[in-house]
Amino acid sequence: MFVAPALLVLALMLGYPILQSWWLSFQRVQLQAGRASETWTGLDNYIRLFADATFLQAAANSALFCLVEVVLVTLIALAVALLLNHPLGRGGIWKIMLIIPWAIAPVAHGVLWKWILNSNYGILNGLLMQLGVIDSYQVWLGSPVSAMAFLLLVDIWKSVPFIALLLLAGLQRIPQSLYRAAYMDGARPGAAFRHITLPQLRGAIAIAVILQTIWSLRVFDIIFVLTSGGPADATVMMNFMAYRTTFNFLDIGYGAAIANVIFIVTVLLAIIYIRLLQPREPGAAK
Amino acid sequence: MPQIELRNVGKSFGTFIVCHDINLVIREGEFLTLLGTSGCGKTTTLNMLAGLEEISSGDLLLDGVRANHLAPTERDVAMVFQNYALYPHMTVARNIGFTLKMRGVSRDEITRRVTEVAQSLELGHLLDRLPSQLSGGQQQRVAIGRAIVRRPKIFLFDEPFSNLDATLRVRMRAEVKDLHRRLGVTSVFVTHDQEEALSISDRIAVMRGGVIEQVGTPEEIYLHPATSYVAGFIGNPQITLLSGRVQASSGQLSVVSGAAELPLPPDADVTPGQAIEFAVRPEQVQPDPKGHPATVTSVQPVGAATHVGVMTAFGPMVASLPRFARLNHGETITLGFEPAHMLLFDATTGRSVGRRPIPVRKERTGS
Repeated sequence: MFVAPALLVLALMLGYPILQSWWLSFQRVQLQAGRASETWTGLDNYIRLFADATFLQAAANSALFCLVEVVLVTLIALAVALLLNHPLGRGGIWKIMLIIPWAIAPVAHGVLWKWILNSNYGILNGLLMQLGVIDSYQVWLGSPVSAMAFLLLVDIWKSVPFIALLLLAGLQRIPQSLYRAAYMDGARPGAAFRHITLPQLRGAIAIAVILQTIWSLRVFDIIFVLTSGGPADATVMMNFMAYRTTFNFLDIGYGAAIANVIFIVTVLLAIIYIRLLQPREPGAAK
Repeated sequence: MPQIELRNVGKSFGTFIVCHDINLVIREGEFLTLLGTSGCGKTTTLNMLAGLEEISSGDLLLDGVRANHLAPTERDVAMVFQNYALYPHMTVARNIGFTLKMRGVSRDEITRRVTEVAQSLELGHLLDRLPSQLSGGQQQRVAIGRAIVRRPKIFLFDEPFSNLDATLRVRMRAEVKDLHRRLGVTSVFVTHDQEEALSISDRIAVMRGGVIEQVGTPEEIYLHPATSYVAGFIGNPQITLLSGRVQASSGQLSVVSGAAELPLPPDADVTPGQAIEFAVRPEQVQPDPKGHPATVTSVQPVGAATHVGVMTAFGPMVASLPRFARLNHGETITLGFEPAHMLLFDATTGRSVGRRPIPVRKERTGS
């Protein structure tokens, strides 16, 4: 009741751009001599999507990127959280070190990695060369597979800290008495992890997976800075394509349609995850 | 052979000593309670028995074999925790069966034993519920079920009733006592509630500041407290300890306290001039026309008795008078008690110097 005015403002702030974007996606928008001409085209933009090889490529790239990143980020973050929750890892210094990648501004982060990966003076080349792993400087972002792999590496590096902290908070909420009880019940550490930690962490993992999926689908800044979608559109993802279509090709209606597809996919994923991970209630509630 | 034996067991966290030279022998099938206020080391002692807490010094023997470094399952002990520690994501059946599953018991056998235990605890209809869907008493029973399903040699209870309301607590007390009678499993029970300890135990070990003050049957503890601390801690309403000095006149020992001189029992273990503390259990203070004048300072009827606080020439006392005593605040009555009923303690050591001195029990091995 009392939050109603705030919710209303929030709804307007969020709702207007969303509605505007839907409106745009049903138009053919052309920018001519300082003004936009809009022509109603109905579902044309959406139909066009499914015949567009670039879009299909972008969708496939996004799906791959998202899947790999969610799995890796969740696993790595869980491992990091478990280490931080260990008595030896409880010092604040570890958490501060962990949070640094996440605290760096997204574009600065992209630029940082651009330097690291640079094919002429990048530190990665220098390091691997000195270690004798490679015998000549590599263009890391030059081939489709390698470019995708490095985008993943860079984004995972940035995403792990937050998810790890989220899971750490979840771990710390598990009452120690459960572990004592499990120990008394004869559960070894592995069994305690499987039967206590994982089920108790279920909610936190669900949130982590949902957030990371959405963030992975939304990835933009590192692509913009590192590859601009290249080489040969190998790293074009849906968000980047929406941007490129809208602001580079100035095909505003089509760009809005792509953005809305991302919106729908994100919402659907969120709903599916929430459904899947809701604790099942056995028996009747009292 | 004693089933559990603690020999000079100590526990310290860094320089902080929690338990000090605990010596205790628990016989097979016995129900022993560790009683004390919070921070007295009773739960730590229980955890050391369980294997949840490492023993810093001394030896723990189970069936005569040193067990300091055995894991809980190897010690064959099961524990009921204060907050139950039920697994929130598992149904009642899975909570009870978890320990069997961890031991690789077959699924059919688990189902059979879980059902059997659930029946005996009247949990049969709740097997598919989650702990959050149970009442406090039901959760408590599940916690007990989890302990008994594996048929351990020893049960450990860590203040299991402290989260229950008063009525339920009394009922669960009876249930646990009944369970102990049926299963005959050695049980160690921790509580801070002296009434609970008195009502449930075969023997009680009263702890204070990491040491055992006295071990004995409820009767011994209540009637013959070994120290003034035990005397004050056990019993409701609480006794008030009064100070005085022993005096001898014409072969008769008495204690001088305030303006009064009270005769001491002839077999009191005191010497003239000794500073002592004394008290009388409230139910042994009775109206007596030839007794001591006493001014009523408080009247608390509790149904079966009325606890009357009075001020006498030798200090404040509490008398437990039968039924509803019709007394007014400020009224003067006369109260008396038998010298033999006086609990006497040395003022410096706090040790009993009463007519039948019971030394602070040092439980030893062997024999």
